Order: sequence, then structure tokens, then C-alpha cells
Amino acid sequence: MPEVYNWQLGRKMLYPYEERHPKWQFAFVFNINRCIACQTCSMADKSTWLFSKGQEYMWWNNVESKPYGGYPQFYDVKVAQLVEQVNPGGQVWNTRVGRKHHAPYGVFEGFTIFDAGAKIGQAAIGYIPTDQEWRFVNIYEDTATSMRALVDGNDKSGFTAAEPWRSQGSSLPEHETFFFYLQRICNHCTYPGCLAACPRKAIYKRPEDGIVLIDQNRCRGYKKCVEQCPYKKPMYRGTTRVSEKCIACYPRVEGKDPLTGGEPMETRCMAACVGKIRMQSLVKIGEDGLWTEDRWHPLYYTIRVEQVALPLYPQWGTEPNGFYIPPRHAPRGYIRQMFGPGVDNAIDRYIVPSRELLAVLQLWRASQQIIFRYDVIPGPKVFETQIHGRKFEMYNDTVLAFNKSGKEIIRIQVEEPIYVRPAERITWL
Amino acid sequence: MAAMDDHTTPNPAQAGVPQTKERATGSRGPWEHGEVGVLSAQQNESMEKWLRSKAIKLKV
Repeated sequence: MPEVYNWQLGRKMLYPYEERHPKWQFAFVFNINRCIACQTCSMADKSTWLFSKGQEYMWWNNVESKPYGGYPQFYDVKVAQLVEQVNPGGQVWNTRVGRKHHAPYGVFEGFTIFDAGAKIGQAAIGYIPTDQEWRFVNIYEDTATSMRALVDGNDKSGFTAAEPWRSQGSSLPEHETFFFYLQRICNHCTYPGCLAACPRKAIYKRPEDGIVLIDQNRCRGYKKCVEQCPYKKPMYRGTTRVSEKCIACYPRVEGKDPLTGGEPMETRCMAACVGKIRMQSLVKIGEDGLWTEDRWHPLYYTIRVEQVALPLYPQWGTEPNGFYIPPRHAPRGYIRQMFGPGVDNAIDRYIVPSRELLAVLQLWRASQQIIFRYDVIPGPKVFETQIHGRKFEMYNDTVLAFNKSGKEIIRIQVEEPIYVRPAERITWL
Repeated sequence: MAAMDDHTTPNPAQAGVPQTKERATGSRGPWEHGEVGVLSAQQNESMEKWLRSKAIKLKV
């Protein structure tokens, strides 16, 4: 099996196909801290693409609760357990090697789904969820880990009475009684498990934007993609007997929506986000598969410069292009399992953001057009405080954002402007 | 019998078509249902390990 380089793992890994990379890559950042699970994204997706017969249980976009929720149920724990069975106790991140551009989180020394798959004669290790596991998309939503179990002397929550400070349950920096929302769409991975698994070669990655699609004419519904995508985002449709998956609203990304006059536009789920947690763009990819340095690109800055957003389950080895600002209140150990060893750095930088990061975060959901570049005009200092013993200064900078053609599409300030309604416009009288 | 579209019909000779398992209405896998072992009220060893943050180790 060929070897490919995975920058999120900091090493080469096995993959059924030779390394090839698109010129641009569809990528996104979700800020978990801001999500209220209103499911507007899910309904935007559902009403656009998933309203037909046979798609009743299909949610290309879903928002689930961690640790108990999942769509399909417990897919992540199950995939982790499958890999663990092949490589017991071997899922290790080596952070001693330090941070480098080609290995920003250290080196993962465990098995990816492809490494584990090779041991059992498959492209990738996986399983097919039962219909029941697909059926309840919001199951165990808002179910927190239980501290009551600890009080009863029954340690089901995973915390022991020997650590009394944990029994407080709800104090920062880490809540031991916790849940948080996880927003999920297809990650349009650099090394997709679904693509590796397909015996028909019906799944392909577009060279122009890295979007992963299933050719509906070639697919014969063998469900290997459903089995071997660890994120469980390809879904089988009984009425057509083929599989379907998130298409990244590619007509919008291509600029086919008349609303933007030919400029690339964000997907439906991104544009609908009420909580302003989502930003999506296209990032430049070099010949070597690494992100080309693009300092004034909002995603490059967030993911590669500040490293405040991290990939979801990077240890699975698909090099997902969905990145998350991890939840600041959840136990670090738990979220390291989900986002890798970069979690501590990401949360530290998010809690006390730099002047530039605070400015860039204002761009989330400020426009439906895809942002390709930003700029910051310095403004006056408006606020100063201490956060966890660290000095935080807020400047009312102005952030500009530009579309693919270089046209300015956003001009927004860090401090939200206050508008006072004039007396003659009072409406409650 | 209506003509079948050979582009969309799985051919059992070419791939194992998942069979119905007890209490399931469709596909199969090495897993029991979600109700066994991974619920908040009924956690199995794997889920507890996950909650205890023991699934991944760090060399610091």
C-alpha cells in the first residue's frame, strides 16, 4: 500500500492511493463555544438537499451532544474501540518532538483507520451502523456526565472520590459535569476513508476545490463508504439503492448562486448559522499537500498561525478539513481524545485572544460570500482587564474582508456599535 | 417483473449485501445496538474508558 504524508499526524501513513492534492481545498472552522444547537444548519441542509423519499433519516449536517450523543449513535467510541482492538494501548501522541509547520501537533504514533485496516485486509477499519443507530439524530442531546453517580459511590461518570476537587463538578477551568455540542458535516478529507473503501471507484475528490463527491451513476450501493468513513457521513438511500453524502453545496462554492454575482458563496449550513459559529473558505494547497502560506487568509491564520482551531479526530488519519475551536469548559483529557494534543494551546489562545485574533473572529458569519483575505485597520484601546491572571486588552480595530476577486465585502469593528433610536422613531407608544 | 436498473441495483454476487440482524431492520455490523453499553445509564468498559480520557495517551 502506498504511503502518503499527513501533516495533522506529523508523519507518513498508509493509504490505498498515491498522494495527489487539489489546488484549493474546501475547509471550515466551527466555534464549539458559541453553538446553541438551534439546528438551523441542520434544517437549512435538510430543506435544500434532503427532503425526498428515502432521505427521511439522512442528515448531512447534524449537531450532536458530546459525550453521549452521536449520529449515528456512538460512532466515535465505536471506531476508537475498533482501532484499539487492533492496536491495544498504542494510541499515543508524541509531543516531545515539538511543533513544526509540517507537524503542528507533534507526531501520532498510533494506528490510523488505514493502518488498522491493513492489519485485517481492508482499506480502512470500520463498521456499518444499524438502522436504529441512524434513526435518532438528537438522541441523548443535553445529557451531561453524571456527578450523582459519584455521590452514590458509583463511579460511572469516570471520576473518583480520591479527587475531591473534581466533585465540585461545575467550576472553571474545567467542568467535570459537562456536555457540549458538536457540529458535523462531511470533512471533505484529504485522504477520505469513503474514497479508499469504494470498490467501484465511484467516489472522487475534485481537483479544483477538494470537495469529495459520490458519482451516483457509478455507485452500486455496496455501503463500503458507509462502513469505512469513520465520521459516518456517507449514507445509504434505500429508494435509489446508492449512497449519498454532503456535497459541500458545490454550486454555491462555484459561484453559481445569482445572489453573489458569480462570486464563491458559503454553503447553506454555514450561511444559515444563527450563532455565528461557522466560517468556511477555500485554502491554497501546495504540491506537497501542505497548506500554502497565506498569512492574511482567515482560515490559514486561525488554523495554522494561531492554531486555535483543530481537526476533529485527527488520529483516524483521514486529514479532515473541518476544524473546531474546542470547548473551553470540558475536561482537557476528554477533548484531547477528540482534537489531539493542540487543545491546551488552542483554549489558552481563545480565552485570552490576541488583538488580531479578536479582530479576525468578528468575520464569522459577517457575509455569505467566501472570504479569501482580510486586513485590520488599528483602532483605539477601549477595554482592559485580567483573565486568569493574564492581561487582556481590547482594541476597537476595524476588520476588512475581501472575496475571491479582491473586492471588499465586509468592514466591521471589534466593538459592536450602539445605535440609539431617536425619540421620533419610538415604536412602543 | 419490472426491468431493473443495473446502475442502482446491488449485485449480491459482487458484494456482501448486509442482512437483517435480530432486532434491527436493516444492516449488520460487529456491534450490538446503542442500548447495550454506551448509554449514560449503562456504560460499558469502552465508554467508561472514553469518558475517563484513557483512549489516547500523550508523550509529553
